[in-house]
Amino acid sequence: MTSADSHETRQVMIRLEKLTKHYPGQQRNAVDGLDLDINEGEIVVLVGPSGCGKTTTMKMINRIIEPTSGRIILNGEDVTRTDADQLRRRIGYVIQQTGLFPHMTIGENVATVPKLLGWDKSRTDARVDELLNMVNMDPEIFRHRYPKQLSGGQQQRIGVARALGGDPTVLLMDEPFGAIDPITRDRLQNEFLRVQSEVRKTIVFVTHDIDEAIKMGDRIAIFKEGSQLAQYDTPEQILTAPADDFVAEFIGRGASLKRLNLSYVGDIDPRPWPTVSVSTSIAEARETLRNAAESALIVVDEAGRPHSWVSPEELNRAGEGSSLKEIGQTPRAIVEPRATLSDALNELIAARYAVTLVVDDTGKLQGVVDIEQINDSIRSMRASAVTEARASLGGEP
Amino acid sequence: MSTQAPHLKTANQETGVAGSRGLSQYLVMPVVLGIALLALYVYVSLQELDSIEERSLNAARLTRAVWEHIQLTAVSTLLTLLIAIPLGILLTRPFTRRIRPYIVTVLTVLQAVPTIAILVLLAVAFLFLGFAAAIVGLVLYAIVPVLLNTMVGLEQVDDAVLEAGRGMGMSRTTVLQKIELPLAIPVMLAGIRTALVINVGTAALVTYINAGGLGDIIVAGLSTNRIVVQIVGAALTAILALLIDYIAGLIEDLLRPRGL
Ligand SMILES: Nc1ncnc2c1ncn2[C@@H]1O[C@H](COP(=O)(O)OP(=O)(O)OP(=O)(O)O)[C@@H](O)[C@H]1O
Ligand SMILES: [Mg+2]
Repeated sequence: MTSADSHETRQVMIRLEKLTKHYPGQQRNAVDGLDLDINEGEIVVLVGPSGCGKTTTMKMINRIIEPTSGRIILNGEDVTRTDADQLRRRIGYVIQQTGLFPHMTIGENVATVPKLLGWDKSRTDARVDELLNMVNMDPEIFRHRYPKQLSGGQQQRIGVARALGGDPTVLLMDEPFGAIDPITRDRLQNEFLRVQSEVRKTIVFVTHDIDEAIKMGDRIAIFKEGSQLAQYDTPEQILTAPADDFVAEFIGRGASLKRLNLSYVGDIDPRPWPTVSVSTSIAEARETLRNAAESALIVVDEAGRPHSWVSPEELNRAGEGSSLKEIGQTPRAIVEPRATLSDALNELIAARYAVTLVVDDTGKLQGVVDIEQINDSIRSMRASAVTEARASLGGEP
Repeated sequence: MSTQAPHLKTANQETGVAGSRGLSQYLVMPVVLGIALLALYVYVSLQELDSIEERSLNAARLTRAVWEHIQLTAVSTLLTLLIAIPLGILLTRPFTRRIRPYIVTVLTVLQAVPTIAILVLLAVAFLFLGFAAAIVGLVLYAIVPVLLNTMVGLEQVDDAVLEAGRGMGMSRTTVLQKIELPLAIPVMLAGIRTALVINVGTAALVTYINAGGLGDIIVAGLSTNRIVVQIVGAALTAILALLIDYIAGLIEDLLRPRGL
């Protein structure tokens, strides 16, 4: 989720030049003259309809599939013809079916590449523990278990840990979360993004799920049949300025809603809302509400955290002796700055006063977000995307 | 003799249901065989033996027959493994894909020929008799189950697992040693056990080409029409077969990789 401008300045880690694969007996090339640059430290997602050559492209990078022609350049070095086994030890590899070795313990699985690299036992053991901790699997519990004693989600985590074993610079992932239920998948994606923010690998990620691509990708390469690049750009750009009808159709109707996944509540200024403290008297609260345009008050506790919503009716019904602590309704729609606008929208649709409360890390009220603000932010995203798309067109002869 | 084997297999599976077999379950078979041996001894000592029977059933002769039988079984099985396992590995490598079906067909046809026919053929056509000839016959017959099980065992290894191994930078040889063979072992061991049981049974026939073994005792009993001698020969063969199968089962349990 880096900003659109930062990838220009970074170094190219993987460069594919005129990469072509022709399978014997097939009429068309599965991948045909593909040129693609992948920058250091970014997640590039290859996405496209089934059979368009995503897997073939990815597997040519570590030469599990040997290219028919073209070149693969890894960190400036041409690796198209070098020793494939040596190359693969530098490239992490995660596949959908996990491919864990069933006869080896989790610890032995994760130690695979360190052992191939000839690390000594203490270094290997330390690395295994570090990686298991990184993917949230307690080494004490899981180190000596066998793959079949783990759930699908846990196996996939081990798959990721194993791929990171030799601390590779590049990670290839082919639909790693494809065979996992939606809730677990969401959790694994978040977890993986957290791991990536620590390890900063260059990642090639294959999926056919556009939502996953938008969520995971710093840049997305949308493929047509035969690995033809339809568009290669940031998720923001692809959603707001699809290059052609193919891309627009592939993204589907929900493009505007999907865009909401890319902006965060923290990116917009929350709107103020009439607020009183719990220690305020009922009379004072009535006075505040009378002078406000809004139809209810937010009551916050001593620490400034949302305590309740109070309506005019509730204030009128309350006796003079009672306190704001005892009346009103607990607020439900609350988001943090890190939540996406999509989360905020979800909350506010069901909320009583059509706003969602924004709180900071300590739970202190910052203000509210309403549907108008979300709408404005979609509009400005679209405008800037169009400007950017125009600018890139203008640069060509 | 080979009819004993399936019976024993089901018995093993029943005991295996409870998970890993307890020590007591491992002791059942030796105790049963010990009792059978004892019963056989008591039965024979209660008989009035005539001179022919006395000659056939003395300790030295019986021991020699049992020892020959064990040698026939061990040597033929060992040779079988030395031929069939490398062949099985070779025939599952990509570069032999073309010739694979032909070789498997030839071997399967070969196995359909009864062993006794092979033995007789060796003896009559090549005047090839004795221990070495017996070994050739036994090996030819036992190769197929070991070979087929080696191939099946190697082929049933999940492609994703192999791809993961290669993808992490293991060489082909390392993948074979560290992944394919360990994962194929349970199926391969089943084939080896079958070969052992076949060999221990078939070794009773090689007496016809002067190769010794417990078949000597049975044939001596048949040709002199002495029931007791026949019973002792047959019972000893059965007990030996069961014992060898039991030991093979132990080895199978021992070598099966954990985690499967
Ligand atoms: N081993 C192979 N032999 C022959 N053709 C193949 C082979 N692997 C893939 N293909 C063909 O190459 C094309 C691209 O396949 P590839 O697996 O790269 O697609 P993909 O984009 O990963 O699709 P999916 O989303 O279904 O995984 C397809 O038309 C496929 O049929
Ligand atoms: Mg694929």
